[in-house]
Amino acid sequence: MFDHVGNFLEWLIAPASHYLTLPATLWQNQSVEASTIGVAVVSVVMALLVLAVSAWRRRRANEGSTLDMGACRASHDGSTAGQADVPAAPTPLSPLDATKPADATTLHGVKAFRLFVSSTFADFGEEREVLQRLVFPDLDAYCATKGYQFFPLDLRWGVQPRSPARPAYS
Amino acid sequence: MTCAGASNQEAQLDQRTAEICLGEVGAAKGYPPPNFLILIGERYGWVPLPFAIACDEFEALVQWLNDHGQQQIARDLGTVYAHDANHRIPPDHAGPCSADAEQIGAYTLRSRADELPGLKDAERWIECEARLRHALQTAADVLLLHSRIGAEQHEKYFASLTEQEIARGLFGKGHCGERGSFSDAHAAQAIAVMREFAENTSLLPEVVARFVEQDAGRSRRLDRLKDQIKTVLPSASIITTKRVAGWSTGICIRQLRRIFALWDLTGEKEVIRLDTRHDGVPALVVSPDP
Repeated sequence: MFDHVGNFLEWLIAPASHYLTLPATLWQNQSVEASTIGVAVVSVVMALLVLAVSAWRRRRANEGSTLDMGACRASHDGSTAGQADVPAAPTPLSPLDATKPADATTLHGVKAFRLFVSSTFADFGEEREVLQRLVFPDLDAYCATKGYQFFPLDLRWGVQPRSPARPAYS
Repeated sequence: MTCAGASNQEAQLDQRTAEICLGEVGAAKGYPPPNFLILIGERYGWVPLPFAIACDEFEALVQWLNDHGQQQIARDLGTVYAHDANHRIPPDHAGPCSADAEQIGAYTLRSRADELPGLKDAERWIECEARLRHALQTAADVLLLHSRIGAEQHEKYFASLTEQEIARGLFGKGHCGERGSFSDAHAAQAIAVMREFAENTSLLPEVVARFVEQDAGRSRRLDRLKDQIKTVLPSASIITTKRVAGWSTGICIRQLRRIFALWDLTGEKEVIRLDTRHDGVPALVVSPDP
């Protein structure tokens, strides 16, 4: 048993060339236990990696949502000066994701909220970005805890910034 | 059809943007409240060309333009719009819209994607659209004056997409142009954020250009629209924010956060929670943290 573990540890720290040959060697030695332990340890390592990555992503998301008012303050004079430090626009929440059956008209039993955002284009960019980046993700998470889906629908997000659908005079 | 990403661009080239947006307002109304969020400031918004114009009305407009030295515009209208026998609309938009009402053909905007390649370019289309809009509005004013078209028909040349969305969202105005009536049911599903500039603020020119309506006619329409919103929405559903030029959108952002409040920025403990209204409809409501 200890030999097997020893083998396995050796396998873990072995140079790359050994990686190719060791499993075969173990199999030939009928080291079933070692193989089993190997699979288990690799699984644990993978699980830890997944947990670490998700924790890291959560931390990043939290950093995003704590954008303070000072940062907001920077962007106001009508120029884009203050927007430089804001990350690139997030992937728009696509109305495609909001595809619901067309017959979902009964309020009772429909486990989803759908919010249509109606605004002029040129002068509400900052507010709409805040909604998309900060407000809607939290609402989405909240609704999810209650078993509801949340579909915000801001069609302007699908419109290119200089698109004719919302020209300068809009 | 969707409005997202590339599909959205297709929708614009197909001249379907307004139709899709209005359709989505209607679709959202089938969901629990809140399902309609209005953000309105000092701009009236984009006024799209009507997608469809009844045959007799279109011909009268073109005739008037031809008779008043605007042959080029009349020709352009004939290029951008095409007779579409399959697109049927009621003859009088102001009248009742019933299933068995006689429907007549219309002229509809042609797709810029394949039928108007010369106008595929965004800049060229914006310029063309502005000229056509102005000509149609001028002609429509005259036809209204002579009672050749009704107020409802006249309205479609002047209403911004934002106003059309709000009309659909708050008044349930339908496709047929019937005069929608306000109902508590519609209002209870809407939230409005109204952003105004603080009084006595001297605005920077670039702020004025971006945020404040310059045209008197559009300004009047905007004021009327805001008055309507204030009249029909319960005060709890309206958030008024003051924007101080040269300072911040932070006020508005804070207010936005507050209404959906998962943040506690003001010191007041407010949370959003899922509740059931008296009529049994589940709703997202903002309330003090217990």
